Amino acid sequence: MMQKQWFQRPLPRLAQHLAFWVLSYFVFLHLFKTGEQPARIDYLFTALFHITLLPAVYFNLWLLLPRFATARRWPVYALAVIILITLFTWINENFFQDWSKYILPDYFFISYFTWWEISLFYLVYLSVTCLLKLSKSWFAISELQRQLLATEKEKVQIELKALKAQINPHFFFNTLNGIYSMSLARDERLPATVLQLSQLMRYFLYESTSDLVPLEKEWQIFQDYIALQKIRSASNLNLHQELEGEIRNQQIAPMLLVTFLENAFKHGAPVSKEKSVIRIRLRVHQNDFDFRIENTVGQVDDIEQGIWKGMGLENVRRRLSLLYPGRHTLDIHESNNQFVVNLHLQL
Amino acid sequence: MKIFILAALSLGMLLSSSCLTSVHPLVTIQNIIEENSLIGTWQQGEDTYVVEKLTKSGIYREMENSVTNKDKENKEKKPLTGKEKEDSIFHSHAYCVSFSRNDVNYYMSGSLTRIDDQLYMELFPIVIDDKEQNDGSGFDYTFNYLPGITIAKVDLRNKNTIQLQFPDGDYIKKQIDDGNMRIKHEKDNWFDTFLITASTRDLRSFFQKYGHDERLFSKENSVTLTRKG
Repeated sequence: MMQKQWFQRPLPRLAQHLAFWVLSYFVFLHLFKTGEQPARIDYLFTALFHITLLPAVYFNLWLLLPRFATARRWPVYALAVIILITLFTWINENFFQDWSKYILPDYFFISYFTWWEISLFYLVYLSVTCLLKLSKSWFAISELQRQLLATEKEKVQIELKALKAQINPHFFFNTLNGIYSMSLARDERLPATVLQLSQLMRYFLYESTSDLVPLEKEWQIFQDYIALQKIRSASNLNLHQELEGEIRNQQIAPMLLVTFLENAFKHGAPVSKEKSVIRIRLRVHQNDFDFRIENTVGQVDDIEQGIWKGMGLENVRRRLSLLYPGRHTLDIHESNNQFVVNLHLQL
Repeated sequence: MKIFILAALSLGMLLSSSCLTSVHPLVTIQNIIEENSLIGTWQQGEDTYVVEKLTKSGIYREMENSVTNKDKENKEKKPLTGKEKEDSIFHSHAYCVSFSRNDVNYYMSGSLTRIDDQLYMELFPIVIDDKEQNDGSGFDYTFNYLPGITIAKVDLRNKNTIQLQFPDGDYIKKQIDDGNMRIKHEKDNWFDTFLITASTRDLRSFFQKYGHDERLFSKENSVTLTRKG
């Protein structure tokens, strides 16, 4: 529930209303005084005139406006206002021209305005008070919109955080298995492999919490990931990669490119004795890049369990829509036994 | 202006102790009426008042002749338009009230109107003819002056008796000074008099609301006239 602004609380609201009527009173008094200075009768007359204005104004603000002032019911509202003005004009005119001599016999005054002029008074007061009320509503709506925006942003941040946290742990388990095999075989590549895994884990766990990381870093992790995957599948894998352009200070949201790579390794396991082929191309420009990865459609390497099933591409698709709305194109399709991903991204 | 106020007040003073003088008329061409039972000679104490149709009065004919002579000089008789036409219509319904005192002849224009069930007369001076003022310093109404109008409520008791009730100027002035009455006015501190400057509409509304109020129309401020002859 939206928290009330300070001007919507009871006491400030009362003060606002009082201020309006006090201002109106003094303006009216000085405009219509009969002599150089207002006399006692002028104060009384002005007060009585405002007393006849008040009910009409509040009847409109509290009953007519909330109930009838909608797009569909505005003819009813207009009619109701006309009836209200007519009724109170009649009351005002009769009060000052007739009834007041019985209620206030010691004071002598008349209705100084014509029927039309009195109606105009009511019309002006109803219009001004309506506008004031609507302007307050406008402020309230603006504040509500601001709060909604802040809530939406917070929601997006939470969602992004959750998406980034969706690392498939299978990769790590397989890599550790590979390292175990290497340690048994006393493989010389073991230290370098452990270091690569460490850097990868550090990136996944810590650096990927940043909003942006250097493209250079993402590409480096990309290479580390490939190196670790080659431990398991080097004999069955035919990997080609191509880098065009120069990576300088471009920044990118973390874990975007690696996700496509992970997907290519996961779904590109060879079906038969033929090797799986993965082709990677990155073309880097000053403010954007084109990334293409295509892999042979094979069987799914690891059977994904539970929440990880189908999450990778959906994850990155959702992140792209949140982080780069209108600044990216992602094309994913399958043709001729090839699974192709094309990503164009404006940095 | 001073002469006008004095002239208007002189009428009121002759007839009543205090009266109300207004700048704007109570009677206009839209609401003027005739009451020919007023025509005749009326007596109040030692004073005699003659009421006749304005257009048939001697003073009106004198004024008309002076205007007609000027037209003859121009060798053109122009048809009446605008204000002149309105004045002509107004005059045709108005009355001339004349009386003499101390060898001074007073001529007033009197016109009638009805507000609700009450009849009102307004009087304003036309000429004060002082025969002893041979240098012509007697007063003549001309268009240079703003007329001060006296208002009275007329009660036609019967065809031989009328009562004129004048609003109590002193009471009204006191109510204004005390801040109890709201009506446009101007004060003349030099002569300690005041003038009602409310519009015709406001005047009529005022008398419509307070025309029956005995505080404004007290018996002390009334004059009873009986028909003579």
